[in-house]
Amino acid sequence: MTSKTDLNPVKPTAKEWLETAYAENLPWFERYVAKNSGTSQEAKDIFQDSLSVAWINLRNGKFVGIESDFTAYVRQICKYKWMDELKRKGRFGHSLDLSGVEEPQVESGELEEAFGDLDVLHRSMSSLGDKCKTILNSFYFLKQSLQELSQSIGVTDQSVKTMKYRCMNRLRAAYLQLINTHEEA
Amino acid sequence: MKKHKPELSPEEFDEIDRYVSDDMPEQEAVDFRREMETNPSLREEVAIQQKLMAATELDSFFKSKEIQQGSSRSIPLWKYGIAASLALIAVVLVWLSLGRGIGEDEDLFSAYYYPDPGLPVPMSSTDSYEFDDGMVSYKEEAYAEAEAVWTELRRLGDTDTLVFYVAMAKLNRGQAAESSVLLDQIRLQPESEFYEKALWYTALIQLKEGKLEEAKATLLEMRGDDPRTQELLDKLR
Repeated sequence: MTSKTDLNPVKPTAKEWLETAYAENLPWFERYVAKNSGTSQEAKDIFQDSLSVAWINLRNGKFVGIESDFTAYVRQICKYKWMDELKRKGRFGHSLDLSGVEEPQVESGELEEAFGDLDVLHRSMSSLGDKCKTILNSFYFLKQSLQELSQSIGVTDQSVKTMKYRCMNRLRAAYLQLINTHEEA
Repeated sequence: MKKHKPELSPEEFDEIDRYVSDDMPEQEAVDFRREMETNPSLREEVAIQQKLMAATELDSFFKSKEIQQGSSRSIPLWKYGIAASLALIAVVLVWLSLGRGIGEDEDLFSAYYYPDPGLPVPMSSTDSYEFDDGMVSYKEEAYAEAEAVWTELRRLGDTDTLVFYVAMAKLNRGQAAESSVLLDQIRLQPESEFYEKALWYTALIQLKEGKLEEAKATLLEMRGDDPRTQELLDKLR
């Protein structure tokens, strides 16, 4: 189900796939965590990070599959992250019985790296101004055309195109700077 | 540590963006993939853009969920306490400043003041790259950032465009007095394309400072046919 390739046969629409994965998996994961010594808020936080990692892996070709495969993939990552959280809690003094918790079928080294990268991506996004976020949201998430966006914010098509370019370059610069700082530390 | 170029060119970005967004004709995509096989830095750039695109999609998605359901991350109760205290202090400070300062003239300033929208930013302008970068910040309402870029440029060579937009950045940051000094420089150049705008914003600053007669005199200097000039003059009489 998960394989590395530079060919991506599926063309998922972020809005639809994320919506489905969220709606189908969050209630399940809240029940799963509740049964395994966790709270609803812990479930929500871990779910958000797990869905994010799954989505990034889909976008960069580390996960390839249809929508139902993606839902299953999100569940595996959620289980992995919850197991990790339980182990972490155990290290800090809670005595937990992990014998009943199902072992997830995912590659842990790759996922650890992905969760680390997610944190850097979060911080890179936070460095962008609201206008940049609006422009990138309109292009990549809402899939608005150049013309629709230029009309809605009252500037020329060329200005919008340039702003998209500059906003993405800023995001890239912030990301690379954080990665370099992280590697130097 | 991997070495990346500081910035992608517009052409490089456009090509990678079309590939990552599945917006490339099939034959071009085949050629692009072939190039990736032999070009590791291109492969790396594609991987970065894929992650950044995913990050923007996720940011938008979770924001939409927060709007639907309220904040998604847990915040300890003590942090709510601090936030509430800060909000209360802010409300008291705003109330005190309102009680002390705002008069009729400042109401007029608020009614007529709007930030200058800035200049269009062209895609490939290598000769004015820094200026345009500052303009993107300005349009993002990141006025301090824009001002810093343009102030640096002024050291290399001053122009009426730079003076005017640094003045606007300052004014939008609430630094009316500093902005006024810069606008005075434009007012000495009646041939400048920013001359009329400089008069308009100077008049508004004078209004904000309660200098009613000076504001009227400045408005009377304006030669354009903007109906707001006459409208404001009528209100000041």
